[in-house]
Amino acid sequence: MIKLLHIIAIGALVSSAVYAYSIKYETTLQAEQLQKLKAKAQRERDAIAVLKAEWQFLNRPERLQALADKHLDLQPLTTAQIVRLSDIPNRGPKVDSIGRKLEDLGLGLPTETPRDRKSNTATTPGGRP
Amino acid sequence: MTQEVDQQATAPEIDAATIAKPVVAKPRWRFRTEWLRDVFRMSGEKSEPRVGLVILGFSGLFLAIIVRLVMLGAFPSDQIGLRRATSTAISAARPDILDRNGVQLATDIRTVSVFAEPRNILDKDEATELLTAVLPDLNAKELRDKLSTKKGFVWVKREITPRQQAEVHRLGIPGVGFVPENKRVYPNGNVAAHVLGFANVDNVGIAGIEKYIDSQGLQDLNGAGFAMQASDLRPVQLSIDMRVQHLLRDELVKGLEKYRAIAAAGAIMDVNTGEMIALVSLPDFDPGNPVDALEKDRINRMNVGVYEMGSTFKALTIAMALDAGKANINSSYSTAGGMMRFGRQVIKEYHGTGRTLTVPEVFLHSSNMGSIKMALSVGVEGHKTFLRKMMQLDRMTTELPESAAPIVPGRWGEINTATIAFGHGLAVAPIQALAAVGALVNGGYLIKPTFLKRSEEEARKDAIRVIKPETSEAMRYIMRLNGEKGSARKADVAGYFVGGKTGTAEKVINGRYAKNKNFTTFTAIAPSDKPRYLFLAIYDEPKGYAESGGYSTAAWNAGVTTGKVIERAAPILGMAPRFEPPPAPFPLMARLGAWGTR
Repeated sequence: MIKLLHIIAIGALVSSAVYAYSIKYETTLQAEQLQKLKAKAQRERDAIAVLKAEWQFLNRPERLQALADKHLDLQPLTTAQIVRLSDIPNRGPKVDSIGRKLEDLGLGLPTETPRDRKSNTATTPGGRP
Repeated sequence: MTQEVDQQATAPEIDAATIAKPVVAKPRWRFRTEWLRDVFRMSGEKSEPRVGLVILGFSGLFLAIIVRLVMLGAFPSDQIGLRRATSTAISAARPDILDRNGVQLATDIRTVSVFAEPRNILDKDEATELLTAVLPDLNAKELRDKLSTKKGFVWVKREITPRQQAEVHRLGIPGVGFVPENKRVYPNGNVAAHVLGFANVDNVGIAGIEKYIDSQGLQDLNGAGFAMQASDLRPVQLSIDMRVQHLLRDELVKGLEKYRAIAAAGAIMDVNTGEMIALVSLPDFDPGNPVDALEKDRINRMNVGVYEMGSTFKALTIAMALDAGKANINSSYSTAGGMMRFGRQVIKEYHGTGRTLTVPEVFLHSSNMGSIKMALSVGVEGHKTFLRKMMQLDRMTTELPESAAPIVPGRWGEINTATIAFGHGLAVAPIQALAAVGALVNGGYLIKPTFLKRSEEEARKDAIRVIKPETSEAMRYIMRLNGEKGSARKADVAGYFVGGKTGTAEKVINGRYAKNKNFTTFTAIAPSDKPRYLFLAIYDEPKGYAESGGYSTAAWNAGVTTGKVIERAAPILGMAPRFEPPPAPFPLMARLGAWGTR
C-alpha cells in the first residue's frame, strides 16, 4: 500500500515537473513570438511613416501645380465661371428633333416592322418562314 | 597590538592580587577562549556575545552590498554605459505637425546611425580605413582622432542609408554598431518654412513651431526617458491651410520676380478667430536642409521685421478719432495749402486735393493732413493710449519664438503723433498691424494671432474689446469704399465684396527717407459686410514696371498680388461669390448719410 502511494507520488511529481517545464518553454516561445511580432509591427509602422511622408512629398502643392501646368488644360477658377441656379434658363418644351426631321423628309409614317408583316402574310405552321 | 602590550604590562599586578586570594586563578589562555565559549553556550543569560557576532556578520554583509551598489553606480559597466550614452545621444521623437485639414507638414521617419565604442576597437587604423572606404564623405583624420579617445561612445555618421548600413555591417568591425534614430522630414519643402522652423540632427527644435513644441515640455519628457516614439505623441495641428499657404507663396514668388523687389511677405488671417491661415516670407529656406536659414535676409518678415506701415496706419488713426468721439463719419477736414508745418518739419500731402475732405474721403485720398488733424484732436496721450491698447507699442508674442519689439520714438511729442498718424515714425511687426486691422473690422475685438487651430469661442475668450461695434462698421465701410472707388480697386475681385487699404512708406536709408525706395503694403478684407479673412501683402523695394507706368506704389504691386491671392484663395476658403452686393451692408452708415452712401 505504501509502495503504491510512493509510486503515485513519484509519478505525480514527475508529471507535474514535465508539465511545469512544458508550460515554461511554451511561455518562452510565446514571449519570443510576441517580441518578434512587436518588432515586425514597429517595422511596419516605420514603413507607414516613410510612405506617408513620401505620399505628401509627391502630393506637395508645389509639385502638383507644376505637373498640372504641364499636363492639364485646366485653368484657375474665376468668379465668371460660377452662375446662380436661378440664372440657368428652364428647359423648354420637349422637342423631338429627329421625329421632326423625318417628318420634313416625308418619312413621318410608321415604319413597317416584321411583326406588322407577320399579321397579314401567310406563314408556315409553327411560325417559321 | 597596543592593548596586548598593555595587558601584559598590567598582568603581574592582577596575578599578584588574585594569588593573594584563595580563588583559583584561570590561566591567561583560558581567559581568551572564555568569550568563545560564551558564544556557543546555550544558556540565555550569557548570549550577548553571540548576538554581537550576528550583528557583526550582518553589518559586514550589508556593507558589502552597499559597496557593490556604489561601485555599480559610480563605475557603470560597459553595457549599461553604452545604453545610457545612446539614450542621451540619439535624436528624440517629435510629434507630427499637421495643417488645419490634416495634411502632413512635418513627420519623423526611422533612420540608422553608426556609432563606435573606441575602447572595444582593437585596430583603430584598420577600422578607420574600412569605415572611410564605405562612407566616403567621412574625414579620415577626424575619425581616427575620434576613435583614439578613451570614450565609451562616439558617433561615426548620423542618418545613413539602408545600403550603407548593410555595407558597414558586412565589414564586421568589433565595437562598431547601429542605433535606430528619428529623422525629421518636411515633405512640403519651402512652402511653410517660416511657420514650421526646423529641428537639428538631434531632433531639437531650433526655430518656428518646432521650437515652440520643445518649449511645451517635450525636451523635459525626453530627458526623463519618455516619448521615444512619435506615435506616443499627439500631433500638433496648426491653423495653416497648406493649399492657401502654397498659393500665397506662389503669387508672392511671381510678384517678387515681376516687381524686382528684394523681399516679400504675405499673410492671411481669420479675423474672427485670430488663426493665421497662411504666412509667407520671402526669401525663405528648406527646413529639411536649413543651411541658409539663419542668414540675415531669411528672417520671418512678418514677425521679426519691423517696418513703418505707411498709410495702413491711417485706418488706426481714423478708428481712434471716431471711437473717441472726436470725429464722426461726416466730420470734415480742410487740406488747403497742401502742407503742415511742425517747427522745422514740413509734412506734405501726397495726393493733394486742396479741398475740404470728409472722413471717408480722407481715407480714400490717403490724406496725410486729414489724418494728422484727427490724431491731434485726440491728443498725444490719447494717441499713445490707443496704440498701446491696439498692441502696437509692445512686442507681440505668438507661438513662434521669433518676435521683435516695435521701434517707438523715445520722446513722443506732437510731431511724432503727427507722423505716426499717417504711418511714419513708428515701426511695427506686420503681424502686429494685422492683429490691429483685424480688430478694426471684426466688430472691435482685438484677438492675438495664433498659429494653432482653434474655434471662434476659444478666441473670443481672451479677446479684448478695443473699439465700439459702430466704429468697426465705419471702418468696414470706408475700407469697402476704398476697394470700390479708391486705391484698393486692384484687389476688388468681383463677388467677394473686398475692401482694402494701400500703404506706401518711403524707406529710411542712412537716417533719411529715400524717395525711390518704397516699402509697400496692402491690407484687404473680404467680405466687407461681415469680414472673415484679412489679407496682407508686403513688398520691400519693388520697382515700377511697364504696365504700371513706372509706378512702384502699393496698389501696383502689393495690391495686384492681393487681388490674385483673393481670387485663388476664396473658393478654397469656402467663400461663395455673391452676384449682387448685399442689400444693406452698412445700415448705420446709410442712416448717418455718410459720404458715398448717396
